[in-house]
Amino acid sequence: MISLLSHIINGALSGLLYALVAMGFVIIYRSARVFNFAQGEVVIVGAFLFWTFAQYLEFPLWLSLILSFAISLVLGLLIERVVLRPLVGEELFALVMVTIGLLVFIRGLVLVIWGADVHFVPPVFSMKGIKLGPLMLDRGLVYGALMTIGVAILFSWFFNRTRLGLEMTAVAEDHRIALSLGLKVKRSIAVAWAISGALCTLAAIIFVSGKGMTFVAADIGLAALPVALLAGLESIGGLILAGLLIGISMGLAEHFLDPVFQGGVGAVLPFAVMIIVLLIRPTGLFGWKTIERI
Amino acid sequence: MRKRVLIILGIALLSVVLCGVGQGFAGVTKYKVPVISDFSGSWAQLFKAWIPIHKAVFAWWNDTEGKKMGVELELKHYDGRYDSSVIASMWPGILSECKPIIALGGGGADVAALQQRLPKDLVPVIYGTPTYGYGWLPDQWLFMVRPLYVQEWLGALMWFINQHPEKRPVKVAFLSCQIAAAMDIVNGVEKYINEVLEPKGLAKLVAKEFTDVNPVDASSQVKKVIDAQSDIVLGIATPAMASAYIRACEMYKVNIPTLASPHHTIWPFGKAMKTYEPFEGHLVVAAHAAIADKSGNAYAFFKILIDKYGLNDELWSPSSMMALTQSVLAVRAVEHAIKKVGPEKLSGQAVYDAMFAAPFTQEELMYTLPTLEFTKDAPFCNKNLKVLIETVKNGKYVVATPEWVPTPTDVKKW
Amino acid sequence: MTLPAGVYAETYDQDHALIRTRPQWIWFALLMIFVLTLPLYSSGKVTGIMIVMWITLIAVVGLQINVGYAGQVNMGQSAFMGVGAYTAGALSFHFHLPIWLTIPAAGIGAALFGSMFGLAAVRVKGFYLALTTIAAQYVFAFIMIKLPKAWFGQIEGLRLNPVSLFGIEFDSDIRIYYLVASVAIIMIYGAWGLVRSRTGRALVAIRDNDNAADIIGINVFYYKSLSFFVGAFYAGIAGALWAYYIRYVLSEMFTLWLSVWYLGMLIVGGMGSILGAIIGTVVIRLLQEFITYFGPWMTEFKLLSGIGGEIIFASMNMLLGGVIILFVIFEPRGLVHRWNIIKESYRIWPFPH
Repeated sequence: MISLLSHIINGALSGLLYALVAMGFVIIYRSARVFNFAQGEVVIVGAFLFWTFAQYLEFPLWLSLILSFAISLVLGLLIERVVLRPLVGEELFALVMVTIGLLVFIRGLVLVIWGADVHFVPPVFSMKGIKLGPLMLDRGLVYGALMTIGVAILFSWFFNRTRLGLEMTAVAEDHRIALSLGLKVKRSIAVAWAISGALCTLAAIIFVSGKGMTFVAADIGLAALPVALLAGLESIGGLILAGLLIGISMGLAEHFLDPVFQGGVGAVLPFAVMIIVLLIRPTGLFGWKTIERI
Repeated sequence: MRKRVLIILGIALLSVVLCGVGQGFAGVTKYKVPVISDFSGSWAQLFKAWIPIHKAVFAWWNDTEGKKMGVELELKHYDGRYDSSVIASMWPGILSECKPIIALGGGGADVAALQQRLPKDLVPVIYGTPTYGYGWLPDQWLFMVRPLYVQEWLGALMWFINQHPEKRPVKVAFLSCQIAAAMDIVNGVEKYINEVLEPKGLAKLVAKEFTDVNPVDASSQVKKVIDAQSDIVLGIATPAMASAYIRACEMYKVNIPTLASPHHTIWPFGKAMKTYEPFEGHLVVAAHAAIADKSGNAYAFFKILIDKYGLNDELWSPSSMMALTQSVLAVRAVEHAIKKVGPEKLSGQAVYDAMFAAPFTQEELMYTLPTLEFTKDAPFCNKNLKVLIETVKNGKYVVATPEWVPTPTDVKKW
Repeated sequence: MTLPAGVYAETYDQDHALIRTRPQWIWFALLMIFVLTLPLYSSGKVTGIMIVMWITLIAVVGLQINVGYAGQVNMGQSAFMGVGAYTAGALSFHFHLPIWLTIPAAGIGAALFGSMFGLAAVRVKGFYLALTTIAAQYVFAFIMIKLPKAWFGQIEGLRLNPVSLFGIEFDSDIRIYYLVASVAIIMIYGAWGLVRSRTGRALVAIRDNDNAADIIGINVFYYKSLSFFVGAFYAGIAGALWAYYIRYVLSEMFTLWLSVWYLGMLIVGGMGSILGAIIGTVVIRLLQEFITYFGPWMTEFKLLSGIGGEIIFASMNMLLGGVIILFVIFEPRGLVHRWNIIKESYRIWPFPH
């Protein structure tokens, strides 16, 4: 019973972390209608940047945090300007392929700069667990989950109530019409990528603080895709629910099915969920575009 | 413009000619030894350390025994990218280019690509990595310097059981992921525990947990391990899993020791964290000389390579040991073959026969390995298996067993 | 496409034909002779490279039909190859069926697996389809490891003995080369036939605008599933040949990255034409071999020895990613477009192109 509870709660916390990464996807999709497959790699770049400042150069924690956020913001802008600006208006397939190319490219870049060894990231949150009855919860994950919820509410408000947010939403609907109405399309897209870069770093720091990591941790990006999809690619608030659902179901799968299948179910479950979602309701729980169907 | 082109062509031609001429100075019989490395694949980091070690050992041998016997072994590295398809497509070229009498292998990818065809190609290949269960087949032309992971781990487990202060079955837990290789090891150990150790009341499997390969959090699984009051945890095979495990242990304020191979846990984390403290009491085991021990004969040999053959001290690590043992066995194998057929008549078949003809003593292997005796029923030495166990004591990485510890001899296939 | 001056079609057959003029026949014959005699006079290394290239070619041509002609994003091609490899391997291993049965069976097996995802293509498009096929990779890997050992060898993989056909045993590289080359030539010929037929035109119509295609009466559901079926069929055949060449099948050999490489080959070669698939495969594979060959050589230099092998690996990644990005931005129609321009300007010389 306790272990079931532990799996559920930890699953929920992990799910919210995935939701944070997925938030990066959704924000970009909401503004630029581009699905950024390279999101996981940007997360790992954020993590490595933090490692460079905190562990390698041994800057104080607050300085490392600020620098990491700043640089990943710039990285987001850079990607948008160099890679995606020339492709505005191109067909879907080109955009898909270019982000996949970006995925491979950034992975290579990470390997060149930081190598494939294990890197240990100093803890940002205290290592003491949070006690919840007989269970101990990872403090970093709990704070991360709270931050995810907070950020989601913040961006929900931003996109639905503020002028800039509404502009960005309008740009997402149709670039050309937005342009004809005088909205600044390029600026919206740039802002979206920048925010997404910063969010990636936040997720990265929560994910790796206090742990050793290698470049393989970038797979978190692929694992967060199902969360984004389940929420519907335009809904930020929906990410919370989607993250919880997927996280809890992963936890349940780990508890009940892993012994049966000798492991591995937890990892493949989100993808199975994703396939089902795509077949039954491609717009996800809260998305607003209708996918053209036959 | 034209003149410039002509000059460049002339220089190019000259250099080609000179290279050709340089090859002509022989006097010893030269043989080429291909090395399937990984320059641009997933394990390139590892091979960066291996390549200088291969070269150093072969250079050392060429200067000592090789010179006496009139044989020179020339290494040729090939980039297999740790990808069976690349290796498979390269191998025919390697065969025709080197006509090898022996080759050095990289790991699982080339085993997959080459295992089937080596008996026909007549090239023995030496590996420095431990064997997985699915490599345990008879009549192989592959030779591993280390036995099965399962045998090494069981050796350490038996030692741990004997050392245990309380006289009751030791509670063993698995924490594994779904990578095929890790599952293989877990299955093997589990079978042995269930069939041999539990009936004897020596050990018991109390928990078998699985995490993701890259877990965000392993605390639920670790909690179950703790609740089962496990004494030792086996199966952690990736740095991410080790991280998550240590983190969870710290949270629950326990320190259940783990058992792994040296390149899995203690060493890489010690380097990354610059301290061994979180691994206090954990064990690593390998069937080769101890890394923690810099006063032994194996290190003395390594020192010779540092002094005369360009290696540097930083290379001394578990992964380098794999390259070291691999190269040493390879050169000694050639040596045994020369003693039988003479320096001119070396062939793959001759080296293959020499592998079984006589054991390779510990002294010959420069104390990096125990005495090895190969037989045709397995690609590794299946007799008199011995391992060395290392641990962290008082924050220092030390050898737990100064003498070789024997492993169980009744491990059956699973 | 403009034909050389003086060439025109007088019958429907001539209009359809791939090769119309005598010079084209001569070039074609020379190419065939070159390709078929290659293993006889070249070193073992080249033979090995060519075998892998033929196998990749089959898979990429199938992908081209699926992605380039029908417009369906498919990132699971290597999983489909894996299904084909396992099917052929299991049939040979357990039932000892002859290869003229197992190879088509492998194709059909992979095609069935592929059309399951093709059904998803009917519902979703673009990114979503890409996601579904990525999921196919993970699901494939999971299933193959968990199925019983007696079927597919689980983590041990399947080990195969050399196969034989009518008493000729395919145990040497040269023989495997001929097997692979002949199958590849048949498949590519079939592909060319497919795309010039009614089916091919239907696929192109769907790619351009599936709603419009639906309106004019093309059965979109059928053709979308068919495109996946065909693409996966090719992948299955490639996988079976792969299994017989390496003689060892393990699900870890068929990764997501391999699928990405295949898509990269399509982009470099040019989407929407079989010739593009061929060019892309050849170019990228030669590039890979080049790096593989020069990697060790470069580390020999004292100057560059500080760089080390892992930089080269990472650079391979950067190279592939960079190539994909550059081609998508600057040359979205791929190398085949350049080739066509060269052909055109040659044909209508001295008029400027």
